[in-house]
Amino acid sequence: MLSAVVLCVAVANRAVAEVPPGFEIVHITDNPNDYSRVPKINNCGEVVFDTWINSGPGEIFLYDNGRLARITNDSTHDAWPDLNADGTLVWTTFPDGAEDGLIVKFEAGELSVIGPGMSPVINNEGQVSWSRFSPIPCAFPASINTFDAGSVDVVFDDGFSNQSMSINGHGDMVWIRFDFCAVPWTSQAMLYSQDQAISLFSEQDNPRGPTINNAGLVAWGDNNGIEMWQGGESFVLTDWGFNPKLNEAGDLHFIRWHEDTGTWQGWLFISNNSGRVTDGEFVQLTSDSFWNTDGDLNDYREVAWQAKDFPESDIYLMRRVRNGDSDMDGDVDLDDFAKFTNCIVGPISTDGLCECRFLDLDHDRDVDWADFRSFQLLYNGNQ
Amino acid sequence: MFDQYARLVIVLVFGMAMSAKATPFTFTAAAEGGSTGVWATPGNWIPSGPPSSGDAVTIPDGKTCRVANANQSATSFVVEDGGNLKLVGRSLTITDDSRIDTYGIFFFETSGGNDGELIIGADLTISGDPNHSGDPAGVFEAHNSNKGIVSTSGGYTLTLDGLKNHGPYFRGSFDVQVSLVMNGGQFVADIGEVVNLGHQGANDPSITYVSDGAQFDIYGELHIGKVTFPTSTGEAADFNTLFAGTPSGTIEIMDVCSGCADIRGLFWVVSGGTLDVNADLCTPDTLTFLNGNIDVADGVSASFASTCP
Repeated sequence: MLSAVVLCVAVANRAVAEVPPGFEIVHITDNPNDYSRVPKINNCGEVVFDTWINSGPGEIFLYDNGRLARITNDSTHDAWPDLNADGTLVWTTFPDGAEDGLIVKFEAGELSVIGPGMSPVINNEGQVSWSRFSPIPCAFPASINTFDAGSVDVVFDDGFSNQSMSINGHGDMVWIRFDFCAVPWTSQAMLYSQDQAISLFSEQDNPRGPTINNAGLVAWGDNNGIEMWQGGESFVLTDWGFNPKLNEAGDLHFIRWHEDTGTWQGWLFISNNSGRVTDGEFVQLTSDSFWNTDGDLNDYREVAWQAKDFPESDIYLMRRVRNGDSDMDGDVDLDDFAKFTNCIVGPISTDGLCECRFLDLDHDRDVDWADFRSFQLLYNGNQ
Repeated sequence: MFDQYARLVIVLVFGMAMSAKATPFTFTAAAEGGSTGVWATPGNWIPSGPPSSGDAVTIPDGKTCRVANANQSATSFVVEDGGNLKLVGRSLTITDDSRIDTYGIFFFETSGGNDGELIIGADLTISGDPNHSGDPAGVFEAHNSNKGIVSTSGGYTLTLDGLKNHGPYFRGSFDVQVSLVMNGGQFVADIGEVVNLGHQGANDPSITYVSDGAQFDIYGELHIGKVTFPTSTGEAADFNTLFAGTPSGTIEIMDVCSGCADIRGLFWVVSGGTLDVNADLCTPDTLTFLNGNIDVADGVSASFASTCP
């Protein structure tokens, strides 16, 4: 048994971070005076995050295929944004003098207030969920609130501190219920589905940061790694990792603390879709001298994350290399050509190219004949 | 697509090889108020937390973390120079042997009738950077109507390892309900403020070990439950720095451990307050009496002569 552990140490130490072929890393922000954090990415490759400019209040930024847009520009602190596939944004804003936050939504250029609370998440159906706190010792209670079709509802309020929301496309939600009156505090992963909330069994103590996908697969980090849950069964994925984020393929982005370098580094778990959610491969994405922490991934395995050490922090993106293979099937063929013809917008810088961004081969934010020239060179037919 | 590359970088499911149980978190909240500046909010941390009893915590320069509403735990913590940790009517438990090198400020605030409390669940040493030339290391502050409590969940010891007269620096009213080793460190109590070192009960096992470099500046009250002045040779303790000043307050020596009563080179300055001796005490040639009172209980001897009786 001991020898097996020693072998594992040796192999793990040799693990070297590599950007997987087919991907490249870009720095969305790179400013030592700013603190950018908590990025979220959608399937259009759009990345939203908040930035504290020169240590000032947080502002919301949106990255879309090479263009970085500042969404807010005011004296209020704007934080913890999320976005869906339509590009609708939600975040928490703290009006001047207010101690607690307001949930706001930014959709089609219009900003609206949803209600009081913090840390909202939004799904592709436009459903929003968030926590609302009450400053009551010792529980520090927080209820689960939702916004759906113009209606705000409290869907769960049991007197405990319910935080760290995630929501899937069906409106199922997972979060962590903290019992802060216990010393030390305890927590449980919770699932809300079909108007019922249940607690999910956890092998280890202190589950935190849950995530859920449309298949009902749930993952969370705890004191001893990452656990998964699906259909009433719990699985330990790894005993080394924290803050997982799932995509629809069952892949995970997560972070690991590397004791030897004193750094957090980003990892991917790539599901092999064998039917067992824990079958797959672990890939180390980063191996820097600084912290690579909270991130998010989309269904194309593009990952956005927060990097560098406080008080500096930037947003990095691992994106697909533009090689003409727009459907990711390993070739550049007529299927990709068909997509190309549907994606042509001409030489006009265009927001929201979404999946057509994979055919913006020269990264000038359009799909035009310049891209087609490159596409012809990359064409290799059905492989 | 990933399959063909996986051999380059794959580590199969044995991440346990490098697992580390005490993972670090840094507090990064933008503001102090409401729910935004509290420990219990996950998004206030990098990585997103909150940290728990298995984690190490850093409060960086410019940040104030409040332990409010909910009690918290951590393996260890660091409050950097310019950082603040506020225990607002709630407790923070340290769960593993740790050493804190800090120049930050720990505020203990009383809220809703509850005092801010640091619970030591393991032996804890607090020190500052000896190369630091600025403010005292690690200020622990419970001023005005606030009071701070330092307690233990299991007989553990708090050690103050600061430079002579340079902190860690306790300022205000405190109940230190643990065995305290003062290899440095300073307690300052203003008028109306009360410091209790060690429990005051007869069966209290807590002992205050006072070594060279410790200092008390008492304008209010200091009560030392049981004090010892250890030496490595078994001879009388020999100090060369100010030990206890009573500009206007009271220092009460409630008990002195057996054989530890002969204290040499220890300066007592009674300049307006009261030195209240309730246990045999002998500190040769070290008394400066300017004003005030020295009260010696019945049946107790207090000697400030050149030799001990």
